[in-house]
Amino acid sequence: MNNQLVELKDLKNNPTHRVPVCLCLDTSGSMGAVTGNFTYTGKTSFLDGKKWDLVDGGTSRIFELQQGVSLFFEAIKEDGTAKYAAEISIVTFDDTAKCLMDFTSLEDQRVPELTLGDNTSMGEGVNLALDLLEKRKQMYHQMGITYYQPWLVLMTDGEPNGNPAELDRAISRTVDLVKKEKLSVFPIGIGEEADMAMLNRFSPARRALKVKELKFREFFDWLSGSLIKASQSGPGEKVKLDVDSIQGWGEL
Amino acid sequence: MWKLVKCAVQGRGHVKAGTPCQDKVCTYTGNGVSVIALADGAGSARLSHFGAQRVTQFVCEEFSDHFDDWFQEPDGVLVKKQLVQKILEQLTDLRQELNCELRDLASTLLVVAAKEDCFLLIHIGDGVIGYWRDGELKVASHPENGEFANITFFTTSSNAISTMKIAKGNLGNIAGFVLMSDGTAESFYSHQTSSLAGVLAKIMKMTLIFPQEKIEKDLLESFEQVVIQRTHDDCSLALMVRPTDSFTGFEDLSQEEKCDVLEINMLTPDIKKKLARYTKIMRMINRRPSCTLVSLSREIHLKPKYTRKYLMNVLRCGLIQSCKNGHYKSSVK
Repeated sequence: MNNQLVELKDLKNNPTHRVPVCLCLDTSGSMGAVTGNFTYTGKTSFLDGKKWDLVDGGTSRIFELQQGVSLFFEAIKEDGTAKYAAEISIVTFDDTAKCLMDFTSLEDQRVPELTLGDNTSMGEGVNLALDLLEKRKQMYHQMGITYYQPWLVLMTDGEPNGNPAELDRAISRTVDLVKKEKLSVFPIGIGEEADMAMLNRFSPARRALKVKELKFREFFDWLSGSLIKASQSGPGEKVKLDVDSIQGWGEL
Repeated sequence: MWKLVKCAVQGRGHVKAGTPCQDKVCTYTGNGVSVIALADGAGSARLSHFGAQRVTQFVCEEFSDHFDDWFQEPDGVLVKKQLVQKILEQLTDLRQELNCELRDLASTLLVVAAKEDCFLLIHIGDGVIGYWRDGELKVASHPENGEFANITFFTTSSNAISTMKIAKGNLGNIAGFVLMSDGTAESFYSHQTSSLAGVLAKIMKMTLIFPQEKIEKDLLESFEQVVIQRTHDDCSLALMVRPTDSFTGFEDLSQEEKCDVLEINMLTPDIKKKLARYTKIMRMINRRPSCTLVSLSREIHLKPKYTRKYLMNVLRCGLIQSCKNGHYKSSVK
């Protein structure tokens, strides 16, 4: 035969299996807390239910988080499969919950700027994140696109102080989805003041992880590596997440 | 009457991870029964390639030896229960040999068996079973996944019976069946339109025209160079095809397909006349035990020295074989 029995033009074009990921990020006032070299200004402020000393200099949690998210995007874009498979949205929660970035092709996405608010409406944030993931799955169904289990990454440095009923509803929905193996949830506590007991209520399958300040880069490096593995998994192939290693550096 | 071919290639992801090809294919002809079977070993099961191998061999032998019993059983649920039980017995034996757990041997399973005018079809898990009738490709069994792309059902799953699909019937005009693993389905099956790639019909036609060894070699080459580039997973395919009234062989190919097979350009001067001569040569060789240059020369009304060029080309392409005493015969008979 002139050419090969099967040529590239003969093949069906199936969309890459998608992995929808929602980063649900705390942008409450406490995320402005700084470490490193700073000087006190002598002024104070009341934010997120607490009194804070105002300082000059240092590196804030939200700045590091912003850098970590950017690195996460870059790592995914560099992987040949994951850049087409991963679809990422960002929900932030402070006084209210906001969809800062909706799902779309990673190539078209730019990491939006994270800005500080005041309170910690965690329940509202998680509910919005779950709504977005559900909507995305419905879109996949309608378009005939196959997909993997969605991921919810919840990151906070404090205690929720939004609507208690919304918080209970968010915990109940998340736990129900995780138990039915319809969602992978990664609750991450930032710093010493994170309410780990509360985060654990979101996660019946694995314990919430604590990431110390300025360790976001390592966390997002781990997260992108795990996402790349997941995007290449086949039927019956459960991706083993190396949670032990992340726990190790998280406690440094 | 049926021609059976198979192909299995280790996926890029498995090469990288150092895991063996977990897709296994088996073809078998015996007792008037033709069987093709394909099993895709579970990625999470460490010895699934052994399980897949055992299951495909077992079902080929089972349907060859007891086709009538399975076909005549009217209770579909009973067929599913008995088949799963027999498969689990095989895997239990293998488990003891390999000193492992039953779940280590998990695989999907796709089977088609045909005897006279009857066929049987079995499907557990993902992958696709297609058939070719009246020149059209259709899906007989779609992939069975859960909600997510990396969830499917296996021979060892607790719900193997409830998720198993079986079918039986008369072949009628069905000329071919094809089994493919989920890795291959990424290239030959559209998840959006639930349809099969037309190239499968080409492969079936070529299987009827060329010897099995050549088709399997060409398939392997295509899989290694093209199909596995679309996925990280192993890719495999098994098919069975027979001549029918709508397609008997070379003479029923389109002009473009004939040019492709003969490796000649469609824009060659007098191409229609040349193709008509090739067709006459192939028809004569296919219908007679053997032919000579002189007899073929008479058939196409061309001097032997010119007829020889035609003969040499079909010989080079593998469509015919030369025998002793200047005789020629079809490669596929």
